Amino acid sequence: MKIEADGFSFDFTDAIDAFVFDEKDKKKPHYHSLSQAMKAVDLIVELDNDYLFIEIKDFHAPDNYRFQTAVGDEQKKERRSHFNHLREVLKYKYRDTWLYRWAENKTDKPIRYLCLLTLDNAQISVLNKELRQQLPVGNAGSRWNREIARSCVVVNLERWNRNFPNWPVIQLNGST
Amino acid sequence: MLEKIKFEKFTAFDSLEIPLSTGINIFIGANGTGKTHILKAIYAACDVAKSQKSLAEKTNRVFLPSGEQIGRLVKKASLSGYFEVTRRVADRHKSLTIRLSLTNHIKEPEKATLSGAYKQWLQYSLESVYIPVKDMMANAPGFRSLYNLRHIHFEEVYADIIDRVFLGTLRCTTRQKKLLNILQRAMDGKIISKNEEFFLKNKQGELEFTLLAEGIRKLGLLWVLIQNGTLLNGSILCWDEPEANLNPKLMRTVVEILLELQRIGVQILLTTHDYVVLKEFDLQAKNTDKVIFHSLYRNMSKIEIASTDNYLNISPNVIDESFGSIVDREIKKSMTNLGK
Repeated sequence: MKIEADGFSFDFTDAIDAFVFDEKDKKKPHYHSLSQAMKAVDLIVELDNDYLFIEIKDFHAPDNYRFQTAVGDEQKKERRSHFNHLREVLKYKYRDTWLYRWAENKTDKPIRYLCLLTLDNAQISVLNKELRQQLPVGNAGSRWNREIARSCVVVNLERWNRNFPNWPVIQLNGST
Repeated sequence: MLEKIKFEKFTAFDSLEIPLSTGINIFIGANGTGKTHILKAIYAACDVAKSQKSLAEKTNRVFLPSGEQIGRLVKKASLSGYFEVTRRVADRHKSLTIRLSLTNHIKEPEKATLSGAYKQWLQYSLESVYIPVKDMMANAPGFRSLYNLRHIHFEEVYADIIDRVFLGTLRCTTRQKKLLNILQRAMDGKIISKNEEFFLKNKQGELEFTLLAEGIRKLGLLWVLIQNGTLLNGSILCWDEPEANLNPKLMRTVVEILLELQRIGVQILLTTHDYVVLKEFDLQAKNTDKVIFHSLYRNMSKIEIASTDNYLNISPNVIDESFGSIVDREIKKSMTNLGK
């Protein structure tokens, strides 16, 4: 099942359904209608036993997020705040999407969150850890009997294609 | 300034030629791709220009092959090999090249062949320093005399670095003072020596190097080499894995110093396995700085090199790939076999 979002073209070969979640076109069946109130991930994919929430961010200046190697305390603070902002955006997009889907009665399968970002592998590794803790993944609360996310992975284009050969993705400007 | 180094059937190399930046050269690559060998060969060639020793003897002492049989430096399964280094000197129109050629059966350095402009090479003195992975300043007391008196099995770079730190101090220029101040802030003190023993001195008193964190000892070493004029315009600095034992936060200071040394005319060659080193250079270097990343890799078992001045174009990038492998394992753990 082919679908495009944010400059990338995906092919979910084993999906039951795949659609743009934050659909702005009123005529489309997946019209969101609450964009003014709720944040939203880019894509939702339904598999046999899972849902995938997918968020894509193609940065023009990925160095803005490299707080670990910032020069000077001011720059470090600034970059750390960009990085935190990115993590917060990813977190609330997921949570609002989850609420929306709960209200739709569509949280009947485990949900996995995939963030496709143009960051290098080292930054991805850091963001992965922080986002999992913040989302949070699994039965995180001491009183929880349910999870809101089964798993969460942050990937770049290369890691996506290496790890998900059944869901190939290409960047529409030509690079794969 | 060094222009290039070339290897033919020497140690790990089949055939490799590396054009060098006159500024900073950063070598990355998996273990066993010859990064340290490049630095050692360059250092041996530079050192003889000042020490006037035989290049064969120096190479043998720096590489320290088993039984000090210099023929063992020829690549295995090859009959002969060589390395050559090319250098430009200020008042000569043509560059100088020297070559050390070996055959695999020779044992003594005297049997090796020196060719090229060796005589002229020795006429133009060259200041050089090789900082090995292990700190030696804490072990300095007595080491030099032991090394000189007895035939102990240590690569000569370890004895040489101690010799360099004991050179007398020079009157510092403003730029040198600026560098020393940066290091003093990071170390919270300055370095003094008493009877071949080094101390970090600050308001609290004097702390001997044996009690000092290894990372701070590295900054201390740089401080001494700058203060005593080893690192001046025209000097060559070879540094094997500056990140060893250094907290990544201190790497910012080290890279700041290295870039500044390059700006005052020190030619720098370093090896690294560390992401932070690469990124610090990428982020701190200005357009006018001369930084080249050399990636060493094996192609059909032969060592090859790809060089670029753009961090994003480093390929293969074994350091980023190692993070990639961690990410892959995280994905597998989180996603099991979905998407496969």
